[in-house]
Amino acid sequence: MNSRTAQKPKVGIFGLTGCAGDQLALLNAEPELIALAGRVDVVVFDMAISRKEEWQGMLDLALVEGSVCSQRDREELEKIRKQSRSLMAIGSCAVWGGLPAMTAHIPVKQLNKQVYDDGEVFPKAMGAEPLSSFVTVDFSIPGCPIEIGELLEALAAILAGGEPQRIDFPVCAECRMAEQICLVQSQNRVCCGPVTVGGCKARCISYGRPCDGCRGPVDDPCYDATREMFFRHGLAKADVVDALRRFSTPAWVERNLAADFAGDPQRRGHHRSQTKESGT
Amino acid sequence: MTTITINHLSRVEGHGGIHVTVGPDGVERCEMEIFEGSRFYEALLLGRHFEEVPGTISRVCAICSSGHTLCALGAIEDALDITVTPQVQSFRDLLNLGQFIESHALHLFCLAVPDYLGYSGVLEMAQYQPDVVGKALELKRIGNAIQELIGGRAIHPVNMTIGGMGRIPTAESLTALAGQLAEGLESALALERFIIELPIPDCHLDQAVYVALQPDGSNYALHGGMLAASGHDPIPVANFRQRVHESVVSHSTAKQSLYSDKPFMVGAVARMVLNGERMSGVAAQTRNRIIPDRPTPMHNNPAQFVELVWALSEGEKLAHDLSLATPESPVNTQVKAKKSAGQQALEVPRGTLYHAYGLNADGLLCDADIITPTAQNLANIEKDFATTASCWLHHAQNDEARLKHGLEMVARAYDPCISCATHLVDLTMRKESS
Repeated sequence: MNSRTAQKPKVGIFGLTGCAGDQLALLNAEPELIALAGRVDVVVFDMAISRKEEWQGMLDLALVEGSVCSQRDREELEKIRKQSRSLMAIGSCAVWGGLPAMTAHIPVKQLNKQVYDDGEVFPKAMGAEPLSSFVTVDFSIPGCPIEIGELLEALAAILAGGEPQRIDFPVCAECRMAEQICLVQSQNRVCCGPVTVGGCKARCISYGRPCDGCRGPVDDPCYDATREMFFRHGLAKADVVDALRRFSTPAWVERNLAADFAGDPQRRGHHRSQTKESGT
Repeated sequence: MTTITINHLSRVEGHGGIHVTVGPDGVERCEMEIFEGSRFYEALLLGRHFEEVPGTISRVCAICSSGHTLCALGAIEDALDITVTPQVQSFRDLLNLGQFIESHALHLFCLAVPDYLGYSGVLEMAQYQPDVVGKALELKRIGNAIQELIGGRAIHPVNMTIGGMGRIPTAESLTALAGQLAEGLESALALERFIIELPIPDCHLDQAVYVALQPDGSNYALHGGMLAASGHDPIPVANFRQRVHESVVSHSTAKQSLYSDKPFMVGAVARMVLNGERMSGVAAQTRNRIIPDRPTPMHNNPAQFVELVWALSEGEKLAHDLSLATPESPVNTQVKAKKSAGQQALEVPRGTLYHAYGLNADGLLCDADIITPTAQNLANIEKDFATTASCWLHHAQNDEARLKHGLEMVARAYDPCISCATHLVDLTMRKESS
């Protein structure tokens, strides 16, 4: 985005299928939102502003939350991509597919049968997919919901013409900084902290419960050490994989964890520049 | 034949629209189309461990996330015969009140009121009515502050666990919260005149069959063992599914519900009709000034305001009492799995929420059923759309803008979940010869 243009950058905030929690998190941060509104021109905000007519022209930045769960979502996303210079996925649904992607390995017909008692009622339904399955994603802010400070820092960097800093440490790093007691080591509980990207200040562990992995996988989890630690505490690989499957794309889990915790994380859902560097 | 379509009733459970078909003999069909992509939440719970249920199901909806968490906890605890301590129950009640304050303040002032007054949204309204918007945002902040303190996070709370809770807030933080709630109550009462003067559109709606939980004691409350309905005897919550029938309609990925084969309405106005007499103090006075004798679904927004006042005053008392109580040590009950089934109904901002789960001997879910307030209201919303459209035919034929506005106001009154009624756009009218 060119910060030197005389006009304020045009920003759109969109929601595909999801709980709207990331837009709500933004709406809950009123002072920051008002400050932001002074720097950018919020053209679309699905949750907060009536869309009087379809917006015209290009957006400088589109923030998109939710996963792609229908053909309609896909068309909307492709339209947003076409009309935006940069696109940022906000929230774990947009970045990784999120919780709804947990059923990605079950045929849609079977899901329809289970939920609607009719396999044919919504034949066009599809499993949840992250944005990056369909369009190029320039920036990603994971979290369920997002941490508002992380989003604002990223926006500040982009408005200044730079790239947001990418968090490359796991939840465990912040957990140790806060001097919290490790739930794997002290209570033999499955905790997704070692393989989940940090940024939440290990909130759940501070309330005495293990990390659910809601922020999705960290770039470079130390699988061998992690596996060793889980095994030492009598935790089966299946339990760890099962816990991680909740919030991260099942394909990622299968590839990286089910195959005996081997291999590098796929860089899907992260910055375009990163994707190019990694050659995928 | 004329088909009137509101294509993007932006965000009813995310995404929905309205279709009205008018033929030579009047209104033929009124449908609230829900095309939110299916996320199959009930299916993705199957085979998962019961401990994961509250944190998974809260993700159905951000603004209702505390309600889903509390309802799921109650249903799992019912299945496993766990009773939480009175102190934990009080914290949970306070968390629910926080959700009521946040949700009602947000819906009423940020989403609904701009519609009544013709603003594009709360940002535009803030330029003209800074005092009202300022007070409303203060209330919303208090609701969030409660959820952050008690739930550990304003959206998707993390501090409630099966059988207990993780961290007990300090006495100081609870005292400070009680102070904030007292100030919030003053602000809310200062908004009463504004709410009374809101123009409630006359859409010629009938009173609905209202359904709400009947509190166990004599006070206004958000849980109870019996389900009350206007014109019917109360039934035990255990019989919920025998009375409320869900069905699948092809124009909506949300299911529809009937109560004894009739459309019905849950939510603030239903609670006000069935339980409003139980209110006391400032909330009762506000109720007497705002709610008419025979409220229709259009009075749901004023009823939300009465509940906002009630929740602030109730929350202040609860936070104060909890600040004086000796904190129990954090309860993390070792829960033993067994083959069982459990259910819970809870009043959440938009109406009665119902969760039921079945567990196998390993504690894995083999059955899950979630009936949300918005799904329960859908059939009644369609009925009220039909009434509005018939009225329009008689009184204002061909003034499409008036019909569109009427339909939007009906949808708005039901507050169909924030992922819900925010803005309604794109009325297209297709005229075909029949």
